[in-house]
Amino acid sequence: MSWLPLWISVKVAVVAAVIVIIIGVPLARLMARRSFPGKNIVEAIILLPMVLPPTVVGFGLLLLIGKNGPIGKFFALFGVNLVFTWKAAVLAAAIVSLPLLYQNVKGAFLQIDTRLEDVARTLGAKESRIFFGISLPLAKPGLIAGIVLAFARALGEFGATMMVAGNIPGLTQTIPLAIYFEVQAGDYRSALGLVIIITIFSFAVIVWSNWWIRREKY
Amino acid sequence: MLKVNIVKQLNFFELKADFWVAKDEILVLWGPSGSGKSTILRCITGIAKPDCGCISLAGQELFDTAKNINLRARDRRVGLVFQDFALFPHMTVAENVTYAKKSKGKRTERDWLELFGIGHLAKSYPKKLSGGEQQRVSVARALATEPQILLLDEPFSALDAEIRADMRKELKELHKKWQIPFILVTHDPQDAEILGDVVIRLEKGQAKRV
Repeated sequence: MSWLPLWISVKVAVVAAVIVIIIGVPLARLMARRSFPGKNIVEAIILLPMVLPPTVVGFGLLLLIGKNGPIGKFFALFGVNLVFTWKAAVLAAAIVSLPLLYQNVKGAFLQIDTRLEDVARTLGAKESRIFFGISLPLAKPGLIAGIVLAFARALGEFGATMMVAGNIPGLTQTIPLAIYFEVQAGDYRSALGLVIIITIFSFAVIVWSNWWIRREKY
Repeated sequence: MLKVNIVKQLNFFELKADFWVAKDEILVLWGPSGSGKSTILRCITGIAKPDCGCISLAGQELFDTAKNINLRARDRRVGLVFQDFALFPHMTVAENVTYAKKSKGKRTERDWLELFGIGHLAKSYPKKLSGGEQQRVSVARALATEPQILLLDEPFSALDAEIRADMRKELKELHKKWQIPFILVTHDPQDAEILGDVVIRLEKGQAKRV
């Protein structure tokens, strides 16, 4: 059994989670506080990857980042190829896990009493200070739950990853892919090893995040 | 002195407010719930925007549709105390009160808390405080910005009847000390009677001082 799939999985899931946090948290706050025409449609687009079959997401992504896709062509200008690299796996993982973070964080923002933000404004606070000092700390439980779910989803991503990143051992082969192909090859022993590793790892993440959420002093 | 002359369309009626408050006055906006009292306060703070009209405070224009002026809430120097105090639950009393950061030293922070009788609560979280204590914190927090007016939205309705009388007295003394106009929104006729130098009754969305 090789440890490489674990390393690739963690790398892909961590980078995907960071991207999802950077995009998803401001997006969730915007959607929780503002209304604008077409908001429903925008929200549907954000959530779509959660309900679509991962292979559909993978196929769509392939059209976008493939050699003839608009994003693929753009990156090709800088000599960067995305398809069948770990970067494509990151993209696939980020797209399918964004809705999970978005839903949780938006819910958390909606539960905050908006008068707290209003009062902070009357106290002379700038919007950025309100966001980082009031909104974000008060949304913490939902934020952590969202990050954990998004991370877990990214870690377990199979279908879309398979289509855009393939199954290249040592490069794009994540744990779920490795397990699948080991079982296909009849190597149950290696598969079991990876199953145990990912189960323990996921369990530890959930225990840690629960502890983190309950640690609040107020 | 605060001058307000605004119109705002609400769901079921049009709100019209036309009044002024002098420095040495407590103005009471009195009316049934849903009559638009809180909306008037929200317009003065800059949290809500009137459809048209003008608002000026101590000679400065905060809002004027004719001149296209609409100062941001954070630039208005208007203190606000919400109905159930809206303290930041994740901050201690001291952190709540110093949120506005009129950078004073540690010592004066202590003095400031003592001034409102909440010095012993500095490290407590809002959840642990009684209604009266929460109100003191909320008022101390609003006044820490050195506002030019203090707005109070139903400040006594979340308090027990026994301490309500004490808090009214405290508020009256505070007003004397501070030398800025107070506006108090209430549906309780007793508040109006005891505290109001001027009482405006809100009816069918009309608030007019004559």
